[in-house]
Amino acid sequence: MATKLLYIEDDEIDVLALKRLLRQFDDVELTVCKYIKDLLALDLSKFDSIISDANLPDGSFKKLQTILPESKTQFTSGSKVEGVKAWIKPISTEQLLSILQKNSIVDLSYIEDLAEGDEEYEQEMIELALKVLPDRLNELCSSKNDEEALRRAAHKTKSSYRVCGINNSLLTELEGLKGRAFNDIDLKTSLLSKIEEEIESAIAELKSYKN
Amino acid sequence: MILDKKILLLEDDVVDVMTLKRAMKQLGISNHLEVRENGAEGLEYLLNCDELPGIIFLDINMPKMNGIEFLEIVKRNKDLAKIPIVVLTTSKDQEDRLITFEKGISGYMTKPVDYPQFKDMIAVIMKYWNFSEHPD
Repeated sequence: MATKLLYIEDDEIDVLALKRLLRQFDDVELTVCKYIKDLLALDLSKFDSIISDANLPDGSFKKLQTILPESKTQFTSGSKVEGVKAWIKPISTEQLLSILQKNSIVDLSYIEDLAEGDEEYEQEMIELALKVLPDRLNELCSSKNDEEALRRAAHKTKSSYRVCGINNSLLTELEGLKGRAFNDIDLKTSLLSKIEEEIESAIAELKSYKN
Repeated sequence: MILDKKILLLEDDVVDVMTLKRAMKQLGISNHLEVRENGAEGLEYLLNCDELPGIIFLDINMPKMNGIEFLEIVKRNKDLAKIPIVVLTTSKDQEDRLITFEKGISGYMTKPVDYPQFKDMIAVIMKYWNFSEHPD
């Protein structure tokens, strides 16, 4: 089924740029809207994701905030606006990817709570997670033949998962591999490969949150 | 009151170190935080420092010397045994909990999945040991 994406943008060049980016993605149904008056005529529940300019000719960011569902809206802006969590245009492929991924892996709530509105700190934590996650993945892969080392590596990775809001059920399963289960190569390989995929997706998503 | 005492954190995960530092800052706890990455480094610090810390936050899973091994040595040393040690861990393993309590820890805290809970937890600990007059 196609992903339904609503793009709220009055600048024709930005719309063209997004359409160009979308050529890399299959199954995306794009709706473009330029004005709040047109937006009000749409059934927003039909869209999977919304990208919206923070300022439209007939409405401000505050007005848009009252109309658009927070859970699936990402704002964009031409420049940094105080108090607005918006991507600075142009939108990158990685940012678009993070919006189109139906099952988002990362949840930034923990980092947002830590930051208490301090965007610089939030970015610092994202940078840190981007630095730590590949190290953790290397550690997991290099300790796959040592039961205790693998258990420790899986356990240690949980902290990074917690901060990035990533579900740690695969890690818990890996951490719990003992004796016979540890020697089940297929099970271990499958778990490690899923975790690798999970970490790589998380890294791509985290990159999209970088200013 | 031990308001001016240092706090020793034994933690090898940089993310967790950052999290505790942030919580302390937000709670207005200005005590110096001394960080060591494993039990061996923590022990070396305790044996050579000018002034012992007022409390130790201890992770269990650490390289070289883990939290349990560190605890055993500290609690056997009469000069160090009185320092309250609170385990701060991701481990929900009941065995870890039992062993560390048997060895004389003062508290065992499992790091919660959300930050406000973590901060509340730190506030309670710090208030209990008089590190903070107004943890709220």
